[in-house]
Amino acid sequence: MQHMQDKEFDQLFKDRFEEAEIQPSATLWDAIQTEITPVRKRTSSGWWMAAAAVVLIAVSAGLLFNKSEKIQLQGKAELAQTTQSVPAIVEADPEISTPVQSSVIPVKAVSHPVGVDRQLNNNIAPHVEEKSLASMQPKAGLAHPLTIENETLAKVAIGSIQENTDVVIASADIPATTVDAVANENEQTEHTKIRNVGDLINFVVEKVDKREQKFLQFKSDDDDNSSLVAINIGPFKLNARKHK
Amino acid sequence: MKLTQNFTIDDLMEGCKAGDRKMQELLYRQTSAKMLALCMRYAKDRMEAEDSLQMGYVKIFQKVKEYRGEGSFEGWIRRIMVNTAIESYRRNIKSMNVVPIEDAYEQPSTGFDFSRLGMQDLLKIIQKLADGYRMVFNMYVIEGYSHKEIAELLGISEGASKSQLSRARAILKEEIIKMEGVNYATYAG
Repeated sequence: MQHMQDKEFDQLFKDRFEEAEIQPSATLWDAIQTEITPVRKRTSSGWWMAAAAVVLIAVSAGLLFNKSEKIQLQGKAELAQTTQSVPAIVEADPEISTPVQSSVIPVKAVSHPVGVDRQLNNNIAPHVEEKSLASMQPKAGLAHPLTIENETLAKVAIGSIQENTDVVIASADIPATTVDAVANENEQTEHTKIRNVGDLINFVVEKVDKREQKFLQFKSDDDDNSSLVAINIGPFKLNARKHK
Repeated sequence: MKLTQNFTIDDLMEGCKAGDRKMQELLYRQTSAKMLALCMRYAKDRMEAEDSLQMGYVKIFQKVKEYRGEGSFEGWIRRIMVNTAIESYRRNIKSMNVVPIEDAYEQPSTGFDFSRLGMQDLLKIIQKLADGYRMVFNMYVIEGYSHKEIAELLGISEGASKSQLSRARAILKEEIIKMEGVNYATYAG
């Protein structure tokens, strides 16, 4: 009896669903179609993806390269500040026995914010010690301009301290010239100063576009703001400087 | 729709094997309503059923080259649909909420009046079943799988398949009595 009922019961469902039809939403075919389409086009779009990836890597590499240089500059600004603070230390603590000893302190502190390679740091340290022993002559054999910069700094720092132990008021001017000296040296060694996005783009463009009229050029003013001054993309050219 | 009648389902199958988009669409137009009715039995609602239908057709167009002509092409399409439903059930099995077992149910003294119940009514009560019960009931009763096959496909024991089937039947009967009760009540009142 129970068995019969089950069979009967199952048959009811079977009959009702055997030929059952329910119309799907009108948009469903489009969804299926788009889902099976990209499989075919993957090969052609793959090249575009690869090209985009190469461009992305190139740009990010360029940005990274520039960024490290930017850090270097910031480090020098800090360096100048630490040098400036030296007279203050000397002033506050006149009991410091030798000026040479105190001059080493800012230079050592410098090696960190500069952020150059460990190798370079190692190079700097011994030179500084040599300098602190009072020899003011730059070494002829030094290859990297950066080491020279640091030496000059060490020199100036020592110089300033030695002077400042006698005359305190005069000390304010000497570190100021140090900043200028460092800045000047930077301009000589690196051609460009990168202060903002405009400078950064100019740098990248210069590397890529060797023409005299770059395809994109920015002008930086003294307030570290940059503005677009020139575009040169084939037939379309814009040069704000010429109009002025 | 007139164009569809010029092609047999095997013509459409050959067209789909060649990757012909027009033939793919014709196959879809010809079979999708039946397949949605199938998906609806395995799903909780229409949205879930249409998702399953979409996945099933994508699979059909990708795998049609593997069809070797064993059994009817429509049977092969059905099997893919059922397998798609089983796969999504097995994916969701962890989040499945277990419904408390009601082992004591009263056998109704009177027979059912089946004639009043339409496909939509039955679909409604099937969709209300717990996921596991719904799977076993559909596979055994409508699709005609054996308990052994169901056990393998769902990763359960044969005994579990049998007990889930009888519980599914019991729950469905209760639901039908409720519906009939409402019908008789309105009829008598």
